[in-house]
Amino acid sequence: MGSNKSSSSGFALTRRHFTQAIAATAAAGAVGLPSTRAQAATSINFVGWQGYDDPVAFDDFLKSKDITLNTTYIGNNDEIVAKLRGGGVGTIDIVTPYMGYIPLLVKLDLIQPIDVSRVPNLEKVMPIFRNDPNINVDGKLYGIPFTWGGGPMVYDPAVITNVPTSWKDLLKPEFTGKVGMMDDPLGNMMIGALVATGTSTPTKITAAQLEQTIDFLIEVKKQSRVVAASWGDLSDSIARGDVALTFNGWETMVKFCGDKGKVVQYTYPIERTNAWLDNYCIAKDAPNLDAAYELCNRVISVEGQKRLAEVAIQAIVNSDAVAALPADIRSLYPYDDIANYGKKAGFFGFPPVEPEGDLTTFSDWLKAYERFKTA
Amino acid sequence: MESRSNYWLVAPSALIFCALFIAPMAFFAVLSFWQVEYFELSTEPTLANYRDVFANYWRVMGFTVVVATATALLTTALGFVFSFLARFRAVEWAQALLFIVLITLFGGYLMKIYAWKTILGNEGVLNSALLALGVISSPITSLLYSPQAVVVTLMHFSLPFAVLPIYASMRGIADSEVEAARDLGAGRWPILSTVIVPRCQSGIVAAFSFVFLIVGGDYVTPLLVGGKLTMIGNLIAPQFGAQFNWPLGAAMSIVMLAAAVIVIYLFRLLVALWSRQ
Repeated sequence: MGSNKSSSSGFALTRRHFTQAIAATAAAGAVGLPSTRAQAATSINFVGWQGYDDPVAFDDFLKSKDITLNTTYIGNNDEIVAKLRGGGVGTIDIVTPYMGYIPLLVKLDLIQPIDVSRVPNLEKVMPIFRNDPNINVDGKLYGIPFTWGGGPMVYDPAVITNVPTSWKDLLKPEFTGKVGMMDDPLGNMMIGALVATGTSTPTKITAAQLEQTIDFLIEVKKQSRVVAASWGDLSDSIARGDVALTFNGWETMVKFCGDKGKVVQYTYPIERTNAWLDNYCIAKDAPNLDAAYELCNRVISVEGQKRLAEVAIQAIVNSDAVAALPADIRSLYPYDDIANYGKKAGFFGFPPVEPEGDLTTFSDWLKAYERFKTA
Repeated sequence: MESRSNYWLVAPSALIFCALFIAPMAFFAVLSFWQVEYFELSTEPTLANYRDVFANYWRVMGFTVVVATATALLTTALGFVFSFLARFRAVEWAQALLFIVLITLFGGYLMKIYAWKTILGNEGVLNSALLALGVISSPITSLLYSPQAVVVTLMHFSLPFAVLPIYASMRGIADSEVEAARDLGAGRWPILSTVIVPRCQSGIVAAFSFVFLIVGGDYVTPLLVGGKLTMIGNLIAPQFGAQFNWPLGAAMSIVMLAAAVIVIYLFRLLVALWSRQ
């Protein structure tokens, strides 16, 4: 997921180091003692969104490979950068960034290229995902794409009868106080740039365009009742009737709201929206490389993908798994017209990390976003 | 000899205090004079972060101080009334009342926030009740996602931290002191203002300080019940995550801490002035 949720914490690694030290001490103490126990399982250190471990952990796959999973869940993608830079290289095996962060992780030398011969299930991954330029850097694949989604406008059909066709429609007086926004800096700014500047490459905008983008977001904020902290909170707000339509969204909100008894629908406005593609990446100096590849291959297997689609209701990438889905699950996402998905949403990547001509950088974006936050 | 052994007795706690409080604060103080450029830390000393704080964040910081002060004042007043009842008016129920206050601490921070969302929402308990009673014809939308929702939620959370120090102070007031004042002809208000408040001023200041610091540093409550509200914690937290700008986050924290010290000092002065009347 390309959204920010909560603050990061650098403590998890420290705690893990402490735990490892305790384990090592215990192991040292046990040296020389006779043991009848089998060789310890390979312990994979996994840093990613909660639930992203489920496709590899739900059945006896890990047990059959003698792998145990040591998970650290993140609240936003930035925590992956923070944890790897904060001493995680050499201890972390798998991270699950969204595709926009992969060029940055490569540039910072925090992940390693994928040896595609060790991930045979890649052949079943639809080309639109496998060939995404964000995950292919300098001709090398750096991520195993396994789930994706977009940021459509989600609405409550019981309240919204005149469904907007443009993001700009949210500014109409009839929607005042009915809009819910997501506190997702990158997603909001990419959609804002598409609408406010008319650009087709919203991650490559000038300072003036950035100002236009923030001005537009502030206008939407004036119309809004809430800037939600997470997709769950935004879904809660709709389900509770506090808001009736959203700026930025996620197809899976249909499921979130449905679980709370609220039927919602979504639409892709004419200006398009942003899309994201999440990946299993292997960290630089991953201590358990073989096991890491096993997990990379498993997450895009038919079994793993079906699990992701049927339980987490997330969009998947394996064409064989899509074909095996029940019709009601398959209909949640535009699989049948996936080649034209680009007309509704774009996998836009990431703003420049360092200055490139007159283009604004990621730091400029985040600084500018504070103007939206405090408006 | 005895005083030297006293020093040794406090040494462990002093060590823990230095390791867990002084050292991290010193680290952040040093960090606040460094800078991050394109995800790389530069240790060349600079005041740029502080200039940035005063130029761009003073408005949010001021708003946070106002919200924290209002919440701290209201919670301290409520805590005072509650403690007064437990100490002087319902003495036989004091233990039960304190137990009720303490038990709310076990409820969990997030649970309280979501409870208030359920109470204050459009289809929440309060709006539903008012609609059912015919008091209103459409939901009051300003109950949730507003500054008052933040204040109410934080008051609920921080009330025990106000009650406990005030009640502890009040327990130090002997009944004979109040009776003596009454015998000398003092009415309810003079007894309250010239005996009880001065005698528990340390508890009142401690209560205000606890609540102010909790609210001033909070960033979850405004996110979940504040709607579009932003407090300084909401801008500090991303500096340690998304923005990867720890030096700026450290500078913002240090300035906010200084603001908190000033406000608490002023409140302490106010209570002391009241007590000298």
